[in-house]
Amino acid sequence: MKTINLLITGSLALIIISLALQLPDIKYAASTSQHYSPSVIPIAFIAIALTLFAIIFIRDFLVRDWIKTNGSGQSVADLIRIRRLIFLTASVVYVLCFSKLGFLVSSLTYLTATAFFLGSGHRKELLISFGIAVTVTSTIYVVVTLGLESFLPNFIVTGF
Amino acid sequence: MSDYFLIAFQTLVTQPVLLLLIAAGVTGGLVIGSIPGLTATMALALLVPLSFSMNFNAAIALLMGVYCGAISGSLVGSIVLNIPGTPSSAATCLDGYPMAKKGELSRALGIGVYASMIGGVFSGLALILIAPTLSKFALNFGPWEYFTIVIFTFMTVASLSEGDTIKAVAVAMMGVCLSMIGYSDGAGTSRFTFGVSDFSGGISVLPALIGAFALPQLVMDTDRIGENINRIDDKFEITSFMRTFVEILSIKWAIFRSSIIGIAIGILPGVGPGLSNILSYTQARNSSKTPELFGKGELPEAIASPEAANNASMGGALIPMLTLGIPGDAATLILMSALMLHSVEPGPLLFVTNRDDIAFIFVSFFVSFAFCTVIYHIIIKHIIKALTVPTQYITSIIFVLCVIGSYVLNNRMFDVYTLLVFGIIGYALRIGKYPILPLILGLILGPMAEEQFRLAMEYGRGSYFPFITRPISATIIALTFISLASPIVRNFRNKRTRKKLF
Repeated sequence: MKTINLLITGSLALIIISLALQLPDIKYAASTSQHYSPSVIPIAFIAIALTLFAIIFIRDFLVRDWIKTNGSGQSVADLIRIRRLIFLTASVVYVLCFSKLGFLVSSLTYLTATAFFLGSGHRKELLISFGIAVTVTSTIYVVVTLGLESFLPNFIVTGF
Repeated sequence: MSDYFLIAFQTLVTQPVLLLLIAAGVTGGLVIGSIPGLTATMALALLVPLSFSMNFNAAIALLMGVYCGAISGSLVGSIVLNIPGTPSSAATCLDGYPMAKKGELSRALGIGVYASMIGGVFSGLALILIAPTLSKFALNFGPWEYFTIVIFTFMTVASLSEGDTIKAVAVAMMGVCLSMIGYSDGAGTSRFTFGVSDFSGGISVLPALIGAFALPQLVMDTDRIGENINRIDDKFEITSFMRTFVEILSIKWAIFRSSIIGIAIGILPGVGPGLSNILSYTQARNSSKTPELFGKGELPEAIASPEAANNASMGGALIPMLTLGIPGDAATLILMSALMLHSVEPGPLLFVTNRDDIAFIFVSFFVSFAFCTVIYHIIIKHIIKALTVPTQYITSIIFVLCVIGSYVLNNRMFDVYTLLVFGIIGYALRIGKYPILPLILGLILGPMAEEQFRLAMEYGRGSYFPFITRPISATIIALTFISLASPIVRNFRNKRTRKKLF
């Protein structure tokens, strides 16, 4: 779909533009070399990136011959496949809740819910998903905390 | 150097833990590599953060095992399900699955496994012979050569990427721009932080890499949930599997040729086992006396050639990574991150200052392939069963492992958010038909490009002429223009051919 590709190209260009807008705010150290300005590389690469995205925009959305021969990428139907949306949304929520709910609660909920909703949705599958979630979560917890001697976020009641 | 090899081998043999780690890595890699949708890159991306707490030898033993296992394991999915476990076994499906469908599952698997092992051994030999020589040559490189080689890498990756060259270069430039976020030694200040203190340390490469490769792949994998998979029901027999070793010896020249193709493709930055797999299959068919039998599961070389090539490209990809610090493909990019995590900087000086580490990497590579051959015989029956695990469980578990891997690096949520943001960017790139590898290459090589350019300007007293007057730098610039021109020439030729036909 042309709109989706336009959105993606525009978003990527916006990332570069947001970096470009920061260029004047950079205060370089006083002792810079007389042979080299630290702003050369940032300006050069940002300019090249913006030029290339502009070329892509003009070619993909304004040049009719190119659009005819090269098509318009994935369709909206591909983009909003239910399972993809479920997985992506669940993953975003999981990451956002990871530190607030702690590893155990967030991972148990994520694994159970995602496997259940992506599967056939039968009650039996909910039990299987929960069982697998408990096994995987506890294994990871033991390996990371005892094996690797690292830390995982805990559920803090007052902080939530 | 041979003394260091002996010491490395002695270290492995006298520390059984290292051998166990290689075995564990190979086993894990074989299982992960065989499951469609879980690539070698993902297997490595999951384990690198966990190797952070290990010492260098233990981390390398584990990661080499996973690397060898995952690439070797991908043929099982191709032959049993007609779905490659990783892109490096795409061409294996063409004859592997038809052969298995005819009731010769064990024969198809045996041909693939033994050819893979032979290809891997050849690539190890190439690694030992070529890498030290190339590193000696690279000691003559100055900052001009390093800067131009980074630009050459970007352009080569872009011109050899699937699809659009302009999109690939644009994404690579975006990666370089993102790499400039944070504190710069050359500038003596923080840049592009948007006023957020977390950005002062820059973007962590590993979480970005994991996010950009893993999350889009997992999202796409959900499309296969509930699909009717054409699974081969033929019973696996170990004796038929082992008998194919004799058959492999009858096609030794095809395997040798494919191994050379694999090594050469592997050396090219940004290409990797996927292209070598397809190229060697095409080459085998073109040079066969019975090309009409390809695609029908009749000829052993139709399976052996792509499998030998994809394993051979592994050693090839390690050559530029170790000698120049330029990763050959996504998997070596992750291995390079692992080395840097353990304060080992890839480059020509590595062969001068860290000979023991280099020797250990080489020895681990060979030992991993030996273990791979043995472990395959033991667990291949179970790998075939593992292919029936429902995808909905695998995708969510893998994502949890990605999040944990990113978190344990520095015990901070910023890295997990980096994983998520780059995952969304990676998915957007997939949808918009932009390649992902150039983005991560730009993120990793951007700081090197900037630093080498700064040094070039300092040493050259502000002059750009040394870029053209130094012979090696000039040669690399010429090769860069050739690599940029080749897709244009290819397009022009295709258009002329089309016009002639119509």
